[in-house]
Amino acid sequence: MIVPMTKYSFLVYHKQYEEFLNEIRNIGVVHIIEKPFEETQTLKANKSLLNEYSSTISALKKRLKAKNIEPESLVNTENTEVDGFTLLEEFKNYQQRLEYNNQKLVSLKKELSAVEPWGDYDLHRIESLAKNSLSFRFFVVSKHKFNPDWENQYPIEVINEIAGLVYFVLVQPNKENFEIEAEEVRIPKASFAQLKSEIDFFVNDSIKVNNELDNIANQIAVLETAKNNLFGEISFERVKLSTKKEADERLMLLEGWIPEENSSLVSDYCDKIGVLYLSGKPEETDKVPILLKNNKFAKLFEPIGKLYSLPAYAEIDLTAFLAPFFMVFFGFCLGDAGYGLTILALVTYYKMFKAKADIKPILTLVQYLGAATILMGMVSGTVFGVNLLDTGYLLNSESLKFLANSNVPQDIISKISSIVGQHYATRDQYFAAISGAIGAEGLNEYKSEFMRSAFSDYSVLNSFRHLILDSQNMFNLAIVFGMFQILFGMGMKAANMIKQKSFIFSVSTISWMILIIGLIVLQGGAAGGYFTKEFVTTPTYILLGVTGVGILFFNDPSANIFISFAKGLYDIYGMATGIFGDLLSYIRLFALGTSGAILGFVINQIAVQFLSIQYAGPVLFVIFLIIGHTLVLLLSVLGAFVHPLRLTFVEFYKNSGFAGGGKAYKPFTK
Amino acid sequence: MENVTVILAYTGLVLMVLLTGIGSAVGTVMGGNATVGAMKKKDDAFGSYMLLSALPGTQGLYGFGGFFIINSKGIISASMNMTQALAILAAGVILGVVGLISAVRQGQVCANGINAIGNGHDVFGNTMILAVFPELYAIIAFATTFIISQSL
Repeated sequence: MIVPMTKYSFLVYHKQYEEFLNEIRNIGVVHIIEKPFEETQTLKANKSLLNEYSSTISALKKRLKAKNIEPESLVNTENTEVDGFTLLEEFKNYQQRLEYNNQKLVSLKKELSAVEPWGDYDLHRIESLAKNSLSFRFFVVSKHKFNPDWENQYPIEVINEIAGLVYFVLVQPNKENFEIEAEEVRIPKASFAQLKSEIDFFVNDSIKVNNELDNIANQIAVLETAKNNLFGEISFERVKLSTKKEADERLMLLEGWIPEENSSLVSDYCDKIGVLYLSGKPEETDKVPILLKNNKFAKLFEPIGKLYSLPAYAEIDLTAFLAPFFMVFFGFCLGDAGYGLTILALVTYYKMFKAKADIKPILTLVQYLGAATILMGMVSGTVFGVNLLDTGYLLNSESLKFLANSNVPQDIISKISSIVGQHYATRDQYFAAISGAIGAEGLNEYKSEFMRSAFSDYSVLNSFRHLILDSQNMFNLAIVFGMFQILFGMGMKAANMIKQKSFIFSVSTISWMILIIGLIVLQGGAAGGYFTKEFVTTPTYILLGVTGVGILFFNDPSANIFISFAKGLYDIYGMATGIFGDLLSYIRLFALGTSGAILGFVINQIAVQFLSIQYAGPVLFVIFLIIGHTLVLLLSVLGAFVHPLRLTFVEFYKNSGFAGGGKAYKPFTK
Repeated sequence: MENVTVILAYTGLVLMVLLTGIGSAVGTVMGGNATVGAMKKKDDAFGSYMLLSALPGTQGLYGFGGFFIINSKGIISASMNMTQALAILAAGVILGVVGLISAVRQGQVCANGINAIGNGHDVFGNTMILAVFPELYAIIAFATTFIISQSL
């Protein structure tokens, strides 16, 4: 349900305005109608500061998460003397220092790797020798190009041999200039020891900086408080800026929305301090903010509705109506009672022992979805990929007695006595045997009795196995659910029309509903053999005639009759193609359920193969089952969530005439 | 002639699993690539990226499901008739081609959604809804395969 809102216009004397805004903010129920305004420099600066707070807090949270610390478990902000802005500045400085250190470390390590082959040497000595006419030249050459005779020919000393390269130094008097066929390299300007000590310095400094950053992270609550205060300041500034100033800026005009149930809080305050105000119901053109108020069950589904859009103010909130459909559709798509049980058990455990209060509603929603999956899994007879319909069939003397008591003719019973005592693994094999004994017609006529009379390998299933739907029936059930949701949606559309305009605007939609239901009853009844064709002919014509008038002449009661008729014709085209497409869309319920069940079944089949392995077999069997079913469950849950969403937002919302586009109610508060 | 029916039937099964598998592989890669890019800009939305990347994975499963439904009928043998073989081939072509194209296109929708989320737009719900539009046709193709298998 959408909470009714009242529009308030306040006229406040300028000297009183600041105090008035503060009090309105304390009460915290007014959704201010913002007018276009030009942002001041202060507002711009504050917004950018707010961004800095947000990014700093998020970086610090990551730091805490890496150390497995819950931000909530830290610090009492009341006792701290540090203010948020100082912490923010410190964080920025340390962050910059850390970045600088990291850059330096990268370049120093690069230099170190170039110096490393030359070992530790004294650069000053090399330079002083060069001044005394003895220069050092550094060379690198690949090992196979290095000529060992060079050591006799030239004053060289091999320093190192690494990765197929020979590093050597030539010592020559300044007058000489030896030519050697090797690559001469620049003499590294820093020695190994120097570089090492510089690296140590930056590493140690980074450790210090990281400790300081950890220290700041421990005071994250201070930053959170500062951020919230700043957000409050920005909101306050925005409200002030969007205030209309009248009478030489001496009177302030502010407009806002207040939920009807809370309006006395503000009006009492205004009466007390003598602020003038006008209040009234929203007009058609008003963009009223939306606050939803649903019962405990429907409230859980509000986040799902918000994924698409909030309803417009004039509409009926569909949350409570989409909830049961979404639940059942999720169960249909996942369609495995075992998976449903797993979800329910895990979530219940998590909710009871581990979950924080803010995610409990979501977990409750998942519990409902798990329960729906158990229900739909039982309908389709699937438990962890095992199809309960294929759990063995055996007819015995008791079965024959049951058949006789169920009014199955004696000649049929005597014909099937040939298969009494035979065991059939699957339902198809069992039916094939019956069909072989009594013919397909007899089987179709007494299918239910044959299902009930056969004994399963698991006696616990005997009492309800005949209720389980096979694939064909699940296919049909998906279409039936679809038809039901579409008709329900049309009902919502008619209700919306009545609420927003008047009954006459809903006549066309109601006519469509009557036509569809009527055709299903009459033509479906005739096809199913409940009525004769002759019997339904006249009622069908009457139905078409009556609903046709509603559809064609009441399509748009605000337009003249010819335009309404033309719109009605177009509506017939849209409806004929639309309903068919929409119905087909519901096949996804069946398809997802079936594909999930098949995957589960395949996992079981492969796992059973492991049992033939000696000793390790049972262990591998269990491990494979757990991993396999976990993967199938995760994949299927994704589909089971997304596809009902689409059915809700496209098929259901379309047929409900849902417009949406409502903006959330956000009161001006601290 | 007997071999021809078996070849046609298995060709159908090959197309069914092969094309849908390729489609899903390409579709999920598109999502994965977009995720890697988007992680640079916004790394706290990995959950949304992963869910969207996984969406085009279902077509491959429909292909496998279709293969399983037909294969478990146990009719593919030298004694099957030409109509049955052609029906299986037709199912393979329908599910294979529709699955391939819908998975690739779905992957594109998901990748664009991931890019948009990375750029700070809150379009996760909208992308999920739009991304399952092309999947409907793979579902219809899977249902068609199911109906064909019932009549075999």
